[in-house]
Amino acid sequence: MEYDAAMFFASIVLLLPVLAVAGLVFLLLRWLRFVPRGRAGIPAYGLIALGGYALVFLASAYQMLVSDPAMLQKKYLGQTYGTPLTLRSYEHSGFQDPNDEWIYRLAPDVAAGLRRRCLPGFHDPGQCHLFYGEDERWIASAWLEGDMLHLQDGLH
Amino acid sequence: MTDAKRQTLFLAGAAGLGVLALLAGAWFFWLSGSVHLLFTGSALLLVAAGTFHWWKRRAAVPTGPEAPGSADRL
Repeated sequence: MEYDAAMFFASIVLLLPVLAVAGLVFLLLRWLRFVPRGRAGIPAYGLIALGGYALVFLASAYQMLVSDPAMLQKKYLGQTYGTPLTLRSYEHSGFQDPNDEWIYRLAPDVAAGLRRRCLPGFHDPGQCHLFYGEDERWIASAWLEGDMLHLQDGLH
Repeated sequence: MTDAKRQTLFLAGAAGLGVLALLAGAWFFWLSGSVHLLFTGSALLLVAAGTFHWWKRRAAVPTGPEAPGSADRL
């Protein structure tokens, strides 16, 4: 729900830039004769603006589901173990203190290899903690539950 | 390339972007349960592309007395 609210807010903030860029793209495409002149060009402007929104949200989905978790795994675990194809769940919570959680289903041999790196000092039954870090603002952790790799990163 | 071909390319590009966005939106929904605005935006994009195409075709087909075969119909 927090994600929906954040995206709705982003879509309002992005309205004017999207409409302005769509106007420039529209003029370029009309000059290149990819869109008709006159009244028939009006729906084409709407199409271009909607296409701009689609591109913005495609980019944000790529960032949230592919590039950010890959970068965080590399930073916290030294390597990217979970891939977009093994991603099973994603949750975004918080508004001013956003928090993201990704859950991957790892291959059994990959999970077994990671289990050898469990951090000492954590005694949650069934969990193997691989990384934990926090400061006064940021908090992150990675742990295994069975073959499921959990990755959390956010602010508090 | 004719203008008609260029405009068909433009509409095909818009529809392709809509399909891509719908697929990404479906993946996002499966993972998070959240309805990404991609769903709304891309569905609108597809509907708009289809409507625009239909409207342009309709505008291009002559329907008056000058239309081919209209004399036979009369």
